[in-house]
Amino acid sequence: MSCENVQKLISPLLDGNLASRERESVLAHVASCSACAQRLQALENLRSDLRRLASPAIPALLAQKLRVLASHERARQRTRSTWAGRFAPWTDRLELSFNNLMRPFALPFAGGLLSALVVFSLIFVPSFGTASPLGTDPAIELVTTPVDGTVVGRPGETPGTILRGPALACDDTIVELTIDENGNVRDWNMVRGQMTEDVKNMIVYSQFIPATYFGYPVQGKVKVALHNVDRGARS
Amino acid sequence: MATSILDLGLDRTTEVVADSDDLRLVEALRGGAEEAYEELLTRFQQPAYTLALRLLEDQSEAGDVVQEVFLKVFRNIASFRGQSTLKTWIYRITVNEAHNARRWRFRHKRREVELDPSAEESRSFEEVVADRAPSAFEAVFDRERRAMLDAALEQLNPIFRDAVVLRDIMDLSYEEIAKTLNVSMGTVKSRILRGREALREQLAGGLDKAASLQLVPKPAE
Repeated sequence: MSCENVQKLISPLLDGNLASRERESVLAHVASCSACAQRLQALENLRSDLRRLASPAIPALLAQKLRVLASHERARQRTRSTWAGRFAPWTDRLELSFNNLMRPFALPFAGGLLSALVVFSLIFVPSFGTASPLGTDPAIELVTTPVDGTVVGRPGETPGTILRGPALACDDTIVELTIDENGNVRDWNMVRGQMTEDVKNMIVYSQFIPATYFGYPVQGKVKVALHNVDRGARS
Repeated sequence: MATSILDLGLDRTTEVVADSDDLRLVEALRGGAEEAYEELLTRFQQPAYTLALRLLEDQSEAGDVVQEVFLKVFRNIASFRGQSTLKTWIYRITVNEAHNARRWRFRHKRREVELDPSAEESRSFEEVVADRAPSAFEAVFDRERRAMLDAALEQLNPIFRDAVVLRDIMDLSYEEIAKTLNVSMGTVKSRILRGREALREQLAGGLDKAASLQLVPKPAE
């Protein structure tokens, strides 16, 4: 075996990767060849030096970082093991995108909503806040019809009421009145009974709450029954 | 002389597929067991750091590489199918990451100027003062030789360095190295042979203990 061949086999010889026959041949050659013996010795020294190379301990800070990393990864793995956890990053991202998209509209939207609430409250809620000390304000409703009027009567007379609906009796006098926006009787039409002086007085001296349209008093019509007009007793 | 040399590592038989210990650990890792994470770090953080440090010769880069390695290990443990040992798998990731780091350094850091103090300067007082070497001469010689070996390793072609480090420092078998580097056994043998020869040649002109100053006691004339 030539020196060139032997020197190629020294490295696997040191690693124990030669067949026994090759190993014997190399060893026999090395025993008789000082150059190859020196090469073997040099490579063996190199190998032992490499093995003795100080292996510096892992820095404490790095070891700590690795433990933190392991902890994070373990938590991440546990989160991802559930369906909710698996989709959590996507839902979080979507939520964040939606929030970012809506943020510029939040203040205008809240302002608009508040304004709308205030405006609609003013329009639709009756006697919002304060009531008139005289109690003559019309009811704030969309549409109302003239309601029961109060028969003021002539001075010195006791005011009575005018009946409507089920309280009507067969002998009642029924009049259809046209009520203007001030609550005064503008016109009348006899539906049943005769127009007597008492009936006329009663109509003339009666005051009604006018009908309203979107809160404003308007002209309207109402049928009223006058009971026992002749006797002057009004119920 | 030669006989003692040949006793080292003769007829080694090594596992090249995952053993039951590896499989148990991998299963526990997949299940998210805290002890499994701890065990993995305990078993492999030091070897991975040593390997990265020997391949890169830079503590800071080695630290970054080790973190990257374990991040990949944790995230890809589900894809480990036991066709190699856990050690080989982790070493392969380490070698690849070190290779990436070297490539990045080659591209980006060549023109950078080092501002940090050197490793020698940054050693603590106790490290500098403590001297457990048998003698001053031995310590100096050993340190010089180690420094030369480090320098020679650094200058070695990375392809050969990977193989030599895995064989002589990390003590992997040829089969394990072949799996780690994803090359054939013949390539592994060739790289180890050429790497060792290159190292021997670089160190040939260095310190030689035998040729150093020798004091021979003589009677006074």
